[in-house]
Amino acid sequence: MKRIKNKIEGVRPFNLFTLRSCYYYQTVAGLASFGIPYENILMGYLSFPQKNFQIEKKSFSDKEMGKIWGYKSKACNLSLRGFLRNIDKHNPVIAGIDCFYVESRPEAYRKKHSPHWILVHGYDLDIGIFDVVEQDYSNSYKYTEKTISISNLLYGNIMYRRPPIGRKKACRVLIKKRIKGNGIKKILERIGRGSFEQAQKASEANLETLKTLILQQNASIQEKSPEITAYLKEMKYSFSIIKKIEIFTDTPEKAARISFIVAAYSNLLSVFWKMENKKDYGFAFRYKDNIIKKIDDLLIAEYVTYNDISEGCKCWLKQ
Amino acid sequence: MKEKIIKIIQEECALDEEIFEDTKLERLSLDSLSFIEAMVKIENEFDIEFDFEQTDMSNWDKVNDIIEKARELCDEKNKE
Repeated sequence: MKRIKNKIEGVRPFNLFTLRSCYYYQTVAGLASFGIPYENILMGYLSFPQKNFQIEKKSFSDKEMGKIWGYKSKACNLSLRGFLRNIDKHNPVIAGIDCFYVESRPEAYRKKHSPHWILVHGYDLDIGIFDVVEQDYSNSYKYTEKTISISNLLYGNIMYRRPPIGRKKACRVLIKKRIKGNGIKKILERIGRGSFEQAQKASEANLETLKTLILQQNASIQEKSPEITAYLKEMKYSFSIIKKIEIFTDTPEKAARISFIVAAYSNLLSVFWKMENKKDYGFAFRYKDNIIKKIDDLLIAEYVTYNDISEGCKCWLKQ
Repeated sequence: MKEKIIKIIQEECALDEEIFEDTKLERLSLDSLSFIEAMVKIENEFDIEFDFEQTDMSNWDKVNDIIEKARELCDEKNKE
């Protein structure tokens, strides 16, 4: 008898903080059904501070991550039959949509053309719905499991290939493969233990420069503000990732220290966003005592944390 | 003041939201940057200034906390 209802077990919406894009959120959610913890995938998205508020992103491509963690992300276009067949084989499908045509995106539906990715992991042909992982609205941190009408999703998926979005391949099928070797060790070997030591030195230099700029209260802070804002954002995201990786937070003290670092970068970022929004670059100077204290505490916390991470890597690479 | 602040926050939310004084900020369709924009509008509306820790959304719990703080800052300004 033909199956008219199926759902892949183990899919877990990932909604802890903003990652690079919806595509990565959906990849993380889908790979959970293969038993791949999200921490493993997150390790491929670390950023490393360089001097002068620059950032080096040691990111891994889909293909590289697939080889390390034992999966393949196959680009293709699918009909309804293709979606159903893949779900029946326990292959989650990440479907591209043009939000203009999809009712579940109220902020964009019939308002603006916006490319987006949705994870499809189940279906019920009786009532005509797909089970999906989706966020509530653009920039939302909240990804949850929802249902969406089959016809509406397929239409949005087809229109993803038409102008103005106009992408050639509208789907990515996640296929489980065999994992070879220790994935964490491979990632750390690629990143290099020395990267964390260099990152600590670069970050320290940047934070000291930031203190100087705030205290000087001259045009330099305004000139460098866009660069500093981008840098603080990347540092916040990078430590948010580190916070989720078990090998870096194996004691409550380490976890608390990293939480403090994330909060401190979030606060500093908010300050720079506000100064740019109001064009009031004297704001940081008016609260310089508290901000300098925050930066000093951050310097200490980062020094200890980077040292912990470096030692942790040493142990892992010896295994 | 309460109504103005609620209206400003509503305008920055990505979705149409029903907001009350005891609404938790984390439940709103408001990201960190939109929150800053709301706070700047509130500052401009009442000619007040929130301090540097108050720019960060994670340091606030409910809408009423912002209303109360704004009221306090206005009172301080009026005393000067």
